[in-house]
Amino acid sequence: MNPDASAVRQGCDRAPIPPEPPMPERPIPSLRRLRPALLLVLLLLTLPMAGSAQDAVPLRSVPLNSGSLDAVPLDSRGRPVYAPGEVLVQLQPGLTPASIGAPANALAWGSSPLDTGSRPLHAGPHGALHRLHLAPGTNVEAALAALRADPAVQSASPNYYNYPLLVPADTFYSQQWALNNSGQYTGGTYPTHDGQTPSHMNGAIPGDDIDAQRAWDVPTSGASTGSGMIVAVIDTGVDYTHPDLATQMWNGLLPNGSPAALCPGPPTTPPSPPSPPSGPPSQHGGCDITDGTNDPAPTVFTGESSHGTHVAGIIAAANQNGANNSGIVGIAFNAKIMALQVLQDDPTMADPLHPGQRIPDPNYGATDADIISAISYAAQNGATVINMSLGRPGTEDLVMTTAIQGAIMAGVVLVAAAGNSNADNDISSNALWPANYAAVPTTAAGFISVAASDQADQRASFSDYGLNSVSIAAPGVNIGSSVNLSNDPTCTSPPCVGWAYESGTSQASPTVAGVVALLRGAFPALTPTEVKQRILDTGDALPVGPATLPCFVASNKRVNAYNALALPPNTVVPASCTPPPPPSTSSSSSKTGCLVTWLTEDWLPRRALDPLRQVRGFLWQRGEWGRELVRGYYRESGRIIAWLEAARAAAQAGVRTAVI
Amino acid sequence: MHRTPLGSARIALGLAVLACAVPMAVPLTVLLTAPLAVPRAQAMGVRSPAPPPAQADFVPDEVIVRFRPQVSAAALAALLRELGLVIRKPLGPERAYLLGITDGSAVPAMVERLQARAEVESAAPNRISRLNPPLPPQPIRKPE
Repeated sequence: MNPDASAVRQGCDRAPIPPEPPMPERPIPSLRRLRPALLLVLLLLTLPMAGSAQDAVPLRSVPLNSGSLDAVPLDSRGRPVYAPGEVLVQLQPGLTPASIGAPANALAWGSSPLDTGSRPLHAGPHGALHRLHLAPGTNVEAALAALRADPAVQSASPNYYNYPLLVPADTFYSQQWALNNSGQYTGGTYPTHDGQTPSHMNGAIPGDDIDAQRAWDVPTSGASTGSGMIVAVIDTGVDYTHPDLATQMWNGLLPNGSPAALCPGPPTTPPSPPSPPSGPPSQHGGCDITDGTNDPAPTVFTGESSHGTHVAGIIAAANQNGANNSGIVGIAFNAKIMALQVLQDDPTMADPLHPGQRIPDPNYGATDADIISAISYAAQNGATVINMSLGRPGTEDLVMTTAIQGAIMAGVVLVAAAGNSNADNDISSNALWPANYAAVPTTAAGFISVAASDQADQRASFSDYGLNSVSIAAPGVNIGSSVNLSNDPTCTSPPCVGWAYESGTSQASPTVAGVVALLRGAFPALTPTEVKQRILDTGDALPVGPATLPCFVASNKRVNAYNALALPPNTVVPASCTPPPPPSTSSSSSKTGCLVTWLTEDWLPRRALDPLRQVRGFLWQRGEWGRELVRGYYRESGRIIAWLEAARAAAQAGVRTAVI
Repeated sequence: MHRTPLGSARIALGLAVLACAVPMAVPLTVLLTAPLAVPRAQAMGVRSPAPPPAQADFVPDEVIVRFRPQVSAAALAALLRELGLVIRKPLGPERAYLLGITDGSAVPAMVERLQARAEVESAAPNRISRLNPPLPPQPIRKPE
């Protein structure tokens, strides 16, 4: 099934949203399968937790010393994620650590004056929280598994370390609203959604960003800054000497450390012999597909030919580089850029009317043949993400379809810009390729097309859209990144290498590509299909109201890097949770949050023929999990009692119930 | 709906007020002197006495072709000779090539001829993708 089409139903048609698990380790039933049962279930909101302890299965025997303290995972900067040798445990109400049935020789609490059985870290009517010190050599994960199975324990978790959050010191970081939108004035020139000029940026809504700053600090099993990821930028080439990119270019090695294929040679016409491959891509981090060399930078740098340099910076500009921490920071700043140049070296031509002068070349563009070659080269040489911020109208090219299919099968996620013509790409005459491969059944699974949103999560006025063909939105207005304008007519004091704002879906697409690199670095085992689905599932719901189109992308989401990395697997942030504002009020202040609920299967006595199932509801608001609003249990043979009352109470508090 | 011609944005780029040095401290008022509602070339004062060169949708003498698996090398060579085509380069997918047209045939006509052949799985023009920025780069302001 096309994930985009599925998302349309979720986001715009207000169909029920599939159930999602709160805990990844517990199997979750399908909501569709359970919906008939839900109409009949009995919900007991006040069921005491202690009751579950009485019925719980016996504690399983888990070897607690199966690991070592060295097994504590490290975060993306090599720091331990949690404290070795200790765990935090919340007990059932009224119980003490002595109630825990785990083997006494494996757990040893009370070794600190702060966490004895009589002095919990926190005590309350819902159960005391204790810090337990594990016996030497005890593996934290194994201890947690045992504790979570213990009927005396409500919850058990590692004692996570808290580190100072990563805030890049790069000169222009505070202007990168897409990464962390504080409502700052960015100084660009594109009007805001309310039609005002940038000098009146009141329309900006803090928090309408991809939440990169928090994403970088998510403790994951892999790297949350893109380490080990190679992002292919199929574009105008990249200024690989730019101070923000020089250290970020691909080294020409495959993931296994062996050298990648030489760059393909230039095309020839018989009787000339076929050209041999050119030099290794390691020299400058990629290949010039147009002329068959290993120098993927334009020879003439103007605003247009600097396009790929801007795109590359959005994805992976260096973090805090240079003596003055110059420039910006890329979303996946530990990823590497594979530059694959598919537009000519020179975007200008001689002016026929004014000898000696040059004008823009109207045929400055990338051919399908070169894009196909670039896709295939990237897929065969270690890229995990491909970004394509370019496009053409017309019809699908079947050879390109084959190349994209091959790339997805090789494990690559492809991302493309939806276009800047304020057009509906679902209409065949408006289709833009390669973006529309996101809607082609044979390529949709691993292909993401991206619209542009502004600092208030509104569709950028220029952005193409499409409920079927455009997957998701991303910031694409006043995006600051690296440029080289040394040959641009506006360059009056060369070398004119620096940073500039640009707007377009060309900027929105690499924003998603950067998030994909973060996600793949953090969870290398995810398939392209799973990556795309997770990107779409975990985006922030776009506001719905009269100020914009009700839905302009299939998912009705704007990408959120933190959610993509931090939320439990298979979590879906409901796309329709933001209610339309009352007609008399502004659309910008209507975000009241969303009650997200899920079901857990077999949470309670497994021996029962008619097992209790649990329903939990948390407040989801502006990208944060809030307090738990609802917890209850039901039997499939019972009747709904308290659930509807809880949902009604939530609605009265201004919270919409997204999943029932 | 017609797409914005790439050329308009490019012309605007030529005269856009852009400071390149870092930090770039161009007053914002300078950047806002051309309201977006005004046609961009007019607003920027571009002189354009002659129409710009035509923008091609595809390369005029090239086609992208994928042959069927069972086509032999000899059959392929014969087909190319018959239609006046030469291989410019192989493309990524198997049996896919960028072919050059040597007899002056128009691309649409050649694509039609190729599509009618049993040896050919697909044939298409070598279309050209563009960048289409809504605005040229603008100076990034140093934080105040």
